[in-house]
Amino acid sequence: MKDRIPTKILANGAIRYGVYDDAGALLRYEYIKLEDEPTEEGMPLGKATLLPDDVAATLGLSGNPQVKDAFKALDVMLTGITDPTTTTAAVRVGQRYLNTTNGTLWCCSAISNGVYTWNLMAGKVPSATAQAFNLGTNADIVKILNAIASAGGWDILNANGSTIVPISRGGTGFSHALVQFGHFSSPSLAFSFPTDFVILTFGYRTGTQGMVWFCDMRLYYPMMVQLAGVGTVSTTSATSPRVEATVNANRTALSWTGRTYDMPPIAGNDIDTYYNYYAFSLVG
Amino acid sequence: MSTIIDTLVTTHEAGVNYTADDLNRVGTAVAYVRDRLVAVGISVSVSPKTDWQTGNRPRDAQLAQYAADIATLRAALAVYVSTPAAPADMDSLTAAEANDIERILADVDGLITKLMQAYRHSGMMYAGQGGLIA
Repeated sequence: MKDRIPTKILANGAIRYGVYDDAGALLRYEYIKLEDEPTEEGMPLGKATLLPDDVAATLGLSGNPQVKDAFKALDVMLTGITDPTTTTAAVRVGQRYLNTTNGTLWCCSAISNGVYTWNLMAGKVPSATAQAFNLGTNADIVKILNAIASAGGWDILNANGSTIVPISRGGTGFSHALVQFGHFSSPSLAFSFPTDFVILTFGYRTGTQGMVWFCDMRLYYPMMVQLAGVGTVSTTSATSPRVEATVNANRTALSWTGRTYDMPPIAGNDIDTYYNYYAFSLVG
Repeated sequence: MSTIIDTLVTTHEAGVNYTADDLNRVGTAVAYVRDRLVAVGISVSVSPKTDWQTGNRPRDAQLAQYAADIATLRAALAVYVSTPAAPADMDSLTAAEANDIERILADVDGLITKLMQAYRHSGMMYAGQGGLIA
């Protein structure tokens, strides 16, 4: 939305108008200003009060939207009893879709040649039941993913995000789908992911302790679930975009800084003996 | 007019150093104009720095941001035909470019004032009302 910006206006707010005769010929200019001595001036009618940029952006509107566009944007929440697919038609990019069966909320991020891309926004996060996974002290990626699969968990995409690889018992067929960021023993590291990635982080403590976090980067603050069943559970702050984990006396943190996770092992903390970092996308 | 805008200098002359005072004055004005734009519903992203001190050596990125902020504010409104173009960068800044920077800020600020003066208010008009053609 754009406001009118006059250039012929007096310092007192009087605006220039033209006075014309019946033939349409300009007779003169007049500067006019209301002088009705109001007891209440009234709300200004303009971009700031009708459709400011920040509100338009929140509604997924760009360009030069009008107020009617904002109403329209509010009106289009699709619903269905299953998750949306590439054939679930959206009216526009940014449209929301609510799965009324499982409560997941989706957003259409792209429309191209009749193919609709839907991204999960909220609703499908690791639940408290995930803590029922008991993987022992030597949990590895195969065991963990199998546990997720047996609990009706998620499928994963491969590293380039194109091939859907279902998690299945037996563990074959998915390890290659993971992006392994290496083994680290350095005192600090940082890496970035697209916001729709999930990072699965392992910290092994010399084979006797282990911990796993699921951090759904599509949520503003990550949810952390301890899967390995060892150590002390962690805290998750809903008000601070940070996740902290405590394993016995050893402590490390996943700090949310935009799209970057920093995981600085504390000096002298022996859980940094062995780290693997994996990331994958959730689908379905 | 704002005292901040009043302080802007459009009379830089060749051969005179561009100092921390200049950087801070412009940075302060950038923040002021940004806030006024937000008040009229226009969101802009600028990162003015207002704590330069004599002897500081601006980094390239800081100077690039400095120039970009001016361009951002200039692009936020439909400016006068006479409003100068924003300098593309701060390399070999000329006196004319230094003046242009502060002229842009003054122009944008003045246009915000005119924009706000032109507001109609609730209760002044009816839907489809005729009369004076704006």
